[in-house]
Amino acid sequence: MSALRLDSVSISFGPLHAVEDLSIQLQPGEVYALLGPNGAGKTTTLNMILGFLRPERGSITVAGVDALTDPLGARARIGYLPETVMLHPTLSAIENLTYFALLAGRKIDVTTARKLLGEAGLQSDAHERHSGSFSKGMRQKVGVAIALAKEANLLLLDEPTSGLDASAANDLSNVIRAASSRGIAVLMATHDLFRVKDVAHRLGILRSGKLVDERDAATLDPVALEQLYLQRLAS
Amino acid sequence: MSAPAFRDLFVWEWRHVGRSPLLWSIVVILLASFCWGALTTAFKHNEQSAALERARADDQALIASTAERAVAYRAKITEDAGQVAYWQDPTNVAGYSEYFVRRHALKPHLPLSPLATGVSDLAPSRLEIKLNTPFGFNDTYDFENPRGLALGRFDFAFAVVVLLPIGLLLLCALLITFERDRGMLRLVAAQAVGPRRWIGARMAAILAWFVPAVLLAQVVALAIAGVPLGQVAAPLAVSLVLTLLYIFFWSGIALFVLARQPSAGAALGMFGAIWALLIIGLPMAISALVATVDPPPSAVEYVDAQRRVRDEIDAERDALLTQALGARPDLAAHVHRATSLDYATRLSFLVPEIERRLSPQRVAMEDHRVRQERIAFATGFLLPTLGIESAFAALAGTDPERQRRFEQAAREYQQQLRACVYPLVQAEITKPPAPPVRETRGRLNLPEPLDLPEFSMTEASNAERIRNVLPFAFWLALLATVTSIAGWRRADRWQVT
Repeated sequence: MSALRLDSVSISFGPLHAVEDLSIQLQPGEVYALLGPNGAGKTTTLNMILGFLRPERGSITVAGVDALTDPLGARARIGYLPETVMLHPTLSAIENLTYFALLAGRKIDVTTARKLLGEAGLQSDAHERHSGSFSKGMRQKVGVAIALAKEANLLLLDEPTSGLDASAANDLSNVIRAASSRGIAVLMATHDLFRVKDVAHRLGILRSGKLVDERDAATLDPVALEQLYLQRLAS
Repeated sequence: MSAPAFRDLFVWEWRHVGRSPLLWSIVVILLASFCWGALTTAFKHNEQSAALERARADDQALIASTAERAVAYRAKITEDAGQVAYWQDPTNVAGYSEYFVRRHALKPHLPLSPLATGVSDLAPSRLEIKLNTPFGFNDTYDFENPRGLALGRFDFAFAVVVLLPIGLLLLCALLITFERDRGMLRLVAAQAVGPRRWIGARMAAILAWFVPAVLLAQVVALAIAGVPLGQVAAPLAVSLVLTLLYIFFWSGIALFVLARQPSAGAALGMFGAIWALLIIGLPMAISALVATVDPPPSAVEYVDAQRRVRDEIDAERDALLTQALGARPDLAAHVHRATSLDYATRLSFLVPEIERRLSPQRVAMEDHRVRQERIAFATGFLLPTLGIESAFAALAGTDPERQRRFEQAAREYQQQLRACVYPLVQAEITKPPAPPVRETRGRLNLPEPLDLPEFSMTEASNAERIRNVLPFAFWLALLATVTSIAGWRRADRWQVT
């Protein structure tokens, strides 16, 4: 069973075709990078998978659950990491994680929360601190822990390394690899070609809502990937 | 993995909301305003109760002095004592009727009166009853819309009707839009929870703190204002239910607006507009409309009519008295005395005639008042903000209906006094006048001052008061349910794109 399957998905906003006839399939443990400039339709695609937008045509299935007829059921199988993770500033990392896990239908104890935060790379001395004092990277790590806490079949990452320093971005790469090794599929919308090359198994390039290319990441070195990306955007 | 249970979410939210400084700030402000409002009314009502006591003491003093004077005037005359004018003589029934019969009709405040300032603070609760005052008492007060008073005077009902929604809406707006304004809503929405359950749990958590806190504040405020809580358990409980329903009504409105997950600014703007419409705009518009469609009879015209009728009666006095005596079989033989009757005896015939001639204006004023009460009652159903104020006044006993009942009782009391005294006064026409030189200073056609009845007014029981507000309570419950269901239905999807 595919972790994610998009079949001929299309959506328009008035005259603008935001996503057109998009088909993607991810197997468990596969890391897929969705590349494209601003406005290419990456976030719109994620919004449709999450059930926030309803496509005009096509179908979306998450781990066998039809996301269009059962968006809650689909979301229960998706771990989502937004570009900027914002948390309850007066709650600690553990409390934030416990809350979001509860929203996901899971009750976790403090030990589990500490373990998840550790897996996400958050230092243990920050677990009890109010998240209001956290840097973007630290919040991002709590966000990763929230996504992991769901024990999801699919991770959706929206520009996950945007604004992160090299160390934090590297930590995130490790988390993605670890998730992949546990059989969790990852769909990552990003501009970060280096990170794509680092962690992705496959990549697709979106331009004006259309998937204009799809490759195995292993077949491309970083320079070739950049040239391909620029060519596809220019053509 | 399944969606979170509502109970689990509620428990988490309840703990979280309970730690909010905003919640407790609002509760403290409401408690202070409730206490202030209840005390304002209690002080006012205590002053009025003291005035009633003074009136009661005045009545007793007059009765005592009349009896004392009657004793003195029954004593044998001494050489140096002169004659006494009839109007100073309580042993003369005519003088007694006009100058010694004066009682007060009193409307005491009910124990729950600090709940709401009402008509009783505008209309008199102490009426001086004399036999010959047309229609029972001097109508020296202008009857106004008690809403004007509520806006001017800070009473408990004002705090509930006007301030409570502000506190609740502020709380809901800031606590429920927090995730939206902080940029967390997408992360919340991406979990396995729907907007209805999420907003519902938070709203329920807010209410789980707010409702008991507000109801407790109401009880505390009324207790501080001196309400004997044990004596008023039933109406107090109903007032608490009304406050509860009023909170649910506003929380339904809050849910309806917040269902679409607006930002705090947008939500507060919307709430401000709804609050202003329900609290200020529509009541003023309806008031203006009613005043235009059904204006009150002119008080100036009534005063003018009184003067005109008195002038007419003065001009026709002898003819009227002759006609009145002639029409009475027991007095017809004494028609020749019509022109020589004393002033007090004349009034016993002329005042009823004055009342008869003024009755069209009086009836028009009464009818208008009844219509206004009916309109106010109906408007209460249209605007719960007005309805709850009226319901509080009804439970507190400061409502217009009780005032009208009091004034009717005052008028009936005057008729009762007239029935006791007028026959005695008029019977004197058939008897020879007292000789100018007597053994006593008093005329002694009324040896003892009369033992006149006391004023009494039939009060509605607590059960009746409660029965009167129940239709509105049910209506408010229905409105609260409708707004809540509408809000719940509206929260059908996340607004995060």
